[in-house]
Amino acid sequence: MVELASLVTAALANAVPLALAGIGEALLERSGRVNLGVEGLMAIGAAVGVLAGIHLGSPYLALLGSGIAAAMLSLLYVVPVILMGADQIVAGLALFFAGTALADLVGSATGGAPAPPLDGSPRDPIAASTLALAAGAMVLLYRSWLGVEIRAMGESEEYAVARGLRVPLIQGGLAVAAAFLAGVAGAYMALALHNGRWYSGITAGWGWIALGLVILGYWSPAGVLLASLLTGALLASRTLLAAYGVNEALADMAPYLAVLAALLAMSLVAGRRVRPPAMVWRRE
Amino acid sequence: MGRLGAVAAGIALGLLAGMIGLLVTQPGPLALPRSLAAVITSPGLLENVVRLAAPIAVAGSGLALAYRAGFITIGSEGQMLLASLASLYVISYLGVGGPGPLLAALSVGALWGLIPGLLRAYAGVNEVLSSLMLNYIALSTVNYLVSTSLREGAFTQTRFIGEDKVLAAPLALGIAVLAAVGMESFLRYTMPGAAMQAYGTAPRMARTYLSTDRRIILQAALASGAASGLAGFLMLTGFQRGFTAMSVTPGYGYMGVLAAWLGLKSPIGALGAALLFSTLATAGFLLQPQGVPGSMALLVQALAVLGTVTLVSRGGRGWSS
Repeated sequence: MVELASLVTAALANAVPLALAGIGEALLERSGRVNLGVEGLMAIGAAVGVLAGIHLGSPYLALLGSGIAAAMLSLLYVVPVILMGADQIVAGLALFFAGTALADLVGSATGGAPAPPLDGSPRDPIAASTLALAAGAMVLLYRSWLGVEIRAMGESEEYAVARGLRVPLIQGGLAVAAAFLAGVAGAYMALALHNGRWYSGITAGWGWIALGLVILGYWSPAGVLLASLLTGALLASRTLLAAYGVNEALADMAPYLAVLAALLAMSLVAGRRVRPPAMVWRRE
Repeated sequence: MGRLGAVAAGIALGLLAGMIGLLVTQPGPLALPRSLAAVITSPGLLENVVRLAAPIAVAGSGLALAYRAGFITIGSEGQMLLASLASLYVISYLGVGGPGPLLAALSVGALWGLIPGLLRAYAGVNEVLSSLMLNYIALSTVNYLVSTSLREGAFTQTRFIGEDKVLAAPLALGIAVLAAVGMESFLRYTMPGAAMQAYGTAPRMARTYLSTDRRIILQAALASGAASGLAGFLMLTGFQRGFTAMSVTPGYGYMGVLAAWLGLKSPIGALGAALLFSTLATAGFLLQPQGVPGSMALLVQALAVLGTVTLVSRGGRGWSS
């Protein structure tokens, strides 16, 4: 039988990468931009994380390297979209494909060798940092001058331009920071959840789940953290389902089905009356 | 720069990036043009190119239609997978031939494609996310069926269709061309097609004069789903032939997404992009024994699309541009 304590630990460990990627993306979306390439950024983070871990020996340096790699890759989104005015949806999708492909190139260089893993327990400094990140993002967004401007810019770019704000600088900065976090999230998945071993498809759509969590968390860092914890528990219950004899492939399906159902429920409950706080998901 | 110029520049950019990538790995940058030339000059490999291009082109054409209407689905991957499995079931388990497997693929693709359409039309759920979730759900469904009721023999795999059921390459290409021309004509010369295009660019006008939001979205979802269904049929009878358990989806539906964008959201353009992609993928396949991972082709494709949309859609930022 599966122990409750190990389930809770697994749920918290699952929530960490979802929250890291989700909070970064939530900040970016509040500024009026959406980057659909989170999955590709996490994929490159996972591959670089394992490769860097093997060569550097320290999982924390590996996480840092992954963040930097993903931040650099995000220039494929930042330069076309924010500096040159390309379509952010297509650019995000292209970044997803490019990141996935590049991750296969980098990851296959690991040759299946393991990197020094993280233990993924709640005492892990990364888990604490995730909490601090959520708190910091809340303060930044709701209790700082910059946060007011970020939220205002997400509502009306005309306002921001009239105020003389450097919109591309702030949006670009947030996009790079969000990509850094997504890269760390991908590396955390590989190092803490998969024992430091890389395989193709290791991020398993969690980047897309994180994008969904931004909506479920209603574009607030605290909300995204809460949604990540719930989804993390759901992902952890996979082992519980398997223990009760549910087919493994069906258990794999559960989290995606649940996120889909949650998006539907939220759209039905809130979608008609309350509009998204950031203009980015609003459609005429 | 004209729109076609932007596409050409985007493709050149992608190829250049691919060559730079090969600079780092074993065979060196000139291996890319060499293997591309090898593919183009070999009739046997060209047959491969056509078989691979057909499903990508058909899926891409349907997606181009949906994107014109502002319905940004990326669910072709899951739709193709399930449709492919459905036609396999009809051919190898029920033993039905003729139009049976094709109809099964079309209807399964259309039904799976309709789900994000219904979710968007009636609840406002964003179709990018819902269609992506449905891709993963489709993958799990196929893995479930492969490991239980469709399992055949000692390994987790299905039956495979016989050599005699494999579609001839010229026939596959013919179907793809017909589908692309058909969808292009639909967009250009029919009222529903015009309404779809108008909804993507001028939704208020379309709503006032041509159609309703729901009808357009559901039409786009159904059409792109059915196209992905046909693509799934072409994938099975072209080269897939059967299924084993998978950790990631095969990726041809995603290539269709990229083909639709590189083809500037035109079905004929998607056909051209698909031929280019499958040539690249086959060239990449040739390079694999020299230590180049197969995903190199996907990287070149993604960068070509990124270059193209950067050069072509200056100033666009919405969901429908």
